Amino acid sequence: MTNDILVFYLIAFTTIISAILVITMRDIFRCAIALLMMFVAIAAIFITLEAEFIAAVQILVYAGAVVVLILFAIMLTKRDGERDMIPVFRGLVSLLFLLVIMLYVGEMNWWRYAPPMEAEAGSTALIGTLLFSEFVVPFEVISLILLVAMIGAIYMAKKEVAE
Amino acid sequence: MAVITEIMANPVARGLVGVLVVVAFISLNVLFLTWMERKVVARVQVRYGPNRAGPFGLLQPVADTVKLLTKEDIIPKAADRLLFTLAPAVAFTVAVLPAITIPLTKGLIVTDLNVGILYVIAVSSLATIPVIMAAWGSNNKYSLLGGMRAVAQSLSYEIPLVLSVVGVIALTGSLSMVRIVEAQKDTWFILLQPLGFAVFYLAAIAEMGRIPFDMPESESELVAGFHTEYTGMKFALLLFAEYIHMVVATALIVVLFLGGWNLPFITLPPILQAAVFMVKMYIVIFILMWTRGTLPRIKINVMTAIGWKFLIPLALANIFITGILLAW
Repeated sequence: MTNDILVFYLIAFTTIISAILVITMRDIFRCAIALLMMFVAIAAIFITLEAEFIAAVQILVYAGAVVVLILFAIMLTKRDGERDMIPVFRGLVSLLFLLVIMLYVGEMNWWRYAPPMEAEAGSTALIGTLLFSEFVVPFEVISLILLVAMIGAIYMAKKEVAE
Repeated sequence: MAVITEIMANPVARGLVGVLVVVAFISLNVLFLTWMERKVVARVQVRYGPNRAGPFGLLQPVADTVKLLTKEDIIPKAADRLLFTLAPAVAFTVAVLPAITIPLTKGLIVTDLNVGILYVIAVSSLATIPVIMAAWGSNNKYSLLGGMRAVAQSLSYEIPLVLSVVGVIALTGSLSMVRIVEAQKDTWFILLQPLGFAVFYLAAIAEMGRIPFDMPESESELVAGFHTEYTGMKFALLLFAEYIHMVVATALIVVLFLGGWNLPFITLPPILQAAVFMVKMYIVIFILMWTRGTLPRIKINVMTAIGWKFLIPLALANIFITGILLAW
C-alpha cells in the first residue's frame, strides 16, 4: 500500500510538472513534447488503478496519435521565432477553464485516494462485451458522429486544393 | 539462491532486474545483427564483408563501438540543444518498451500483461516521436524532410498493422501474448491468417523503415534523413534503436503468426523452446536482410498509396473473412 501511494505521488508530480511546462514553455515544439510526457504519466496513473486497457488506449490515442499530429502540424509551419498569445487573453481563458474545472471537481470526493478497481472492472473482455450489448446504440451513434466529422474534414481539405 | 528469491519477491527489484536483463539481451542481439547485416548484404552483393576483426569479422561490432565512443560529439550551433540531446535517449527507451511482453517461452517473459498485444501496439506508436524530435531539433532541411517522411509513413502503416492483428486476436480470444502463442500449439496462425500475415509483414517493414520502405533516411536523396546531424554515441543510440525495432518486430511476427516457441507435433523442454523461438526470429531477420540487399527503394507517394489503398482494404477484408468463418 505504501509502495502504491509513493508511486502515485511520483506519477502525479510528473503529471503536474509536465502540465505546467506545457503552458509555460515558449517553444511550441517543446510544449508538445511536455504534453506527450503528461499523457504518458496519465496512462501510468491508469495502470496503478488496474485499468490496463484504458492505459493502453490513452497511449495509443493521445500520445501516439494526437501528439504526433500536433508535431506534424508544427513541422509543416515555418520556424519564425517564438510567439505568445496576448497575455490578457491567455489569462482570461485559463481563469475560465479553472473555474469550470473547480465547479465540476467540487462535486466529487476528489481528495480521497482511489483504490485500484477490481481486476475485472478494467478488463478488455468486459469493456468489449458491454460496448456490444448494453451500450451498442451510443457506440454506433459515436461512430456515426466520427464518420461525419471525417467526411467534413476531407471535404474542407479538398475544397482548398480545388481553388 | 534464497537471497535471489527474496530480492525477486520485491516488485521494484524485479522490475529493475527485468529491465537490465531485457536491455542486455537485446543489446547483444543488436550487436550481432549489425555484423550479420553487413555479412548478409555483402554476400548478396558478391563481397566478403567484414573479415579482419576476429574470426569471420565477428569482433567488428566491438571495433565499431570503440570508434563511435571516441568520435567527437558535435551539436550544431542552430540546433535545439535539449531536443537534439534528448531524442536518442527517447528513441532507445521507446524501442525497448515493447520487449517486456514478448515471451521467449512461457516462463521467460518479464510480464504477461492481459492487454499484451494492445500494449505493444500502443508503445510502438510512440516510436515516431523521437524521430520528429531529432528531425526538428537538428534544424537541418534534410533532417526535417526525413522526419516528415517518417511521420507520413508511420501514420499510413500503423493502421493496417493494427487491423491485421485483429484476426489473430479474434482467433485467440485474448490479448495476452502467452495465450496467443498457446493457441498456436497445433496450427500456426500463418496458415489460418495468410492475408493477415502478409499485411502485418509489409506494414512491419514500413514501420521499421527498412528497404524497400526506408524513405526517412534514403541516403541518395536526404544525405541520411533525420540523423544527418548526429555523430558519435548519439548516432550510435539512434542506430541501436532502429535495430531494436527490427528485433521487436520480428519477435512479434514469430509470436503472432509463426507459433512462438511451438514446433509442430513435438513438445520441447523450455530451454529448447527458447532456442526454437530465437531460430525462427533469425530466419525472419535473414529474410529481411536478404530483401534489403535485393530490392530497390519505392517512391514516397507510391509507398503511402500502397498503405492506404492496398493494405488497409486487404486488412479490413481479412477481418471480415475471419469474422464470417468464426461465426460459421
